Amino acid sequence: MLKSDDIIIIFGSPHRAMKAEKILKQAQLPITLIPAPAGLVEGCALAIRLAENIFQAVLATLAAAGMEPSKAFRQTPTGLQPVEKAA
Amino acid sequence: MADIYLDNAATSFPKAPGVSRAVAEVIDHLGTSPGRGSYRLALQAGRLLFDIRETVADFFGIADASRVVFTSGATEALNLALFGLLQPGDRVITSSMEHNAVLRPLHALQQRGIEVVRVPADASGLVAAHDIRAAATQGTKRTRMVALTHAANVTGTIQPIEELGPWCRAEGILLLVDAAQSAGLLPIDVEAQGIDLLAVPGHKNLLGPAGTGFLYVREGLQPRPLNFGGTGGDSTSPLPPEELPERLESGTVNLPGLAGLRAGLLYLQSRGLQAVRRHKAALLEQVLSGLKRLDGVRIYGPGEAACHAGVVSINLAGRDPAEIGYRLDADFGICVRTGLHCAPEAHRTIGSFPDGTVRISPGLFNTSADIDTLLQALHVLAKG
Repeated sequence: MLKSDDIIIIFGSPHRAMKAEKILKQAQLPITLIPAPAGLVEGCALAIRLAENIFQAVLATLAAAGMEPSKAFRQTPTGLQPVEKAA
Repeated sequence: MADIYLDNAATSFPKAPGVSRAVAEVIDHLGTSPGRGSYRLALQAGRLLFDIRETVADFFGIADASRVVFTSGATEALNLALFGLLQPGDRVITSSMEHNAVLRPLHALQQRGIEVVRVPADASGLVAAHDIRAAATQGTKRTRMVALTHAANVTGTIQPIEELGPWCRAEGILLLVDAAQSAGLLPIDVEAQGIDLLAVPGHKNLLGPAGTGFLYVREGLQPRPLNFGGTGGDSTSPLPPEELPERLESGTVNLPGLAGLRAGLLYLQSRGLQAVRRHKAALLEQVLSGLKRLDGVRIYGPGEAACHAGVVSINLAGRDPAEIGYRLDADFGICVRTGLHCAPEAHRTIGSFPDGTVRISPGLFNTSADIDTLLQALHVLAKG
């Protein structure tokens, strides 16, 4: 489900995750809705997976729509590590 | 003898074209639970639910679709608003024209220490805005909420929501609007009209299936849930999440019904709300002008089509409304509702308690010929 350096972002609710997916797909950013990895489920069992090279574009697009993910993580050899969200 | 259905204030029939197909489509091809899994079909169901919510929000001028909480109908929406936000010691202002979906929760809340002030309407069913304002500002206790129907279900009388909304907003008083008879017929824009809480059934003028409806909750309000249960995420938390809409939507949502509701909304948008209103107003005008030519008919409410929201209540002098309803059905195949219409105080207000009235509520798919048949039937019945 995740490969090295993939980024996942999570939201507080399924509605917000669906809204984020819609916004990002409308912006033609290649993201995928996936199950939130175990331990990261915070009010929502969904997460958005994206490649690291579009992370800032994703954040900027969401910010322009008044949306912000609650948390972001990077897949590393030792597992998921929190990532600063600031662009 | 084909039935002529004139009880659309109870529920619309027939539904809009495409509604039953939309329901069946979900049941047959997308029968999964949105927000309860992340396989493709569940995500598809979740996306559909999201789209439906956005369609509803767009229809009612709601900027943030997450503030649309789906319910089983207007009754649940009203209960959620009233039980979710009122606390012992609060004062709530309402009117004598309310449906039991407002009266009964308020009665129960009164027993829990909430002060309920019922403002009387005039004989046409109209609640004066200045009477609401006076009731809300009298005494020293702060009023927490005004709970008012947009259009009375017995007489169709349209209440002055546009006037009260901005005033309530300026006074810091919550405005809860029961839009059971108005949503899909009268223009509603929650922002423009200053509505904090809007309770809407999906199965009346919105032409969707029974078992659908919603409560709009203005940003900043956080009602206590009526139901506690699964919301699809954060399962270890002992309480529902803070986020709307999930906080107030425990359990599996009625996706087939909501898909039907969306089909109803899209149909109304394609026809145009003004055209819908014009058609229904023309039918009501035909009803009213025809009734005025009949001897022994008493019309309740304003008596002008422009002031009725889809409903006219009548009685024939000296006759039991139940008998009139029975004869209309048995002899002419005409379906109307008789009695108190779950609004006893409204009948006390207009002078039709305890027998009630014969309520005529044409729908979008009724024709002028249907009304002619009704008027001919009433002419026969009025003669004895």
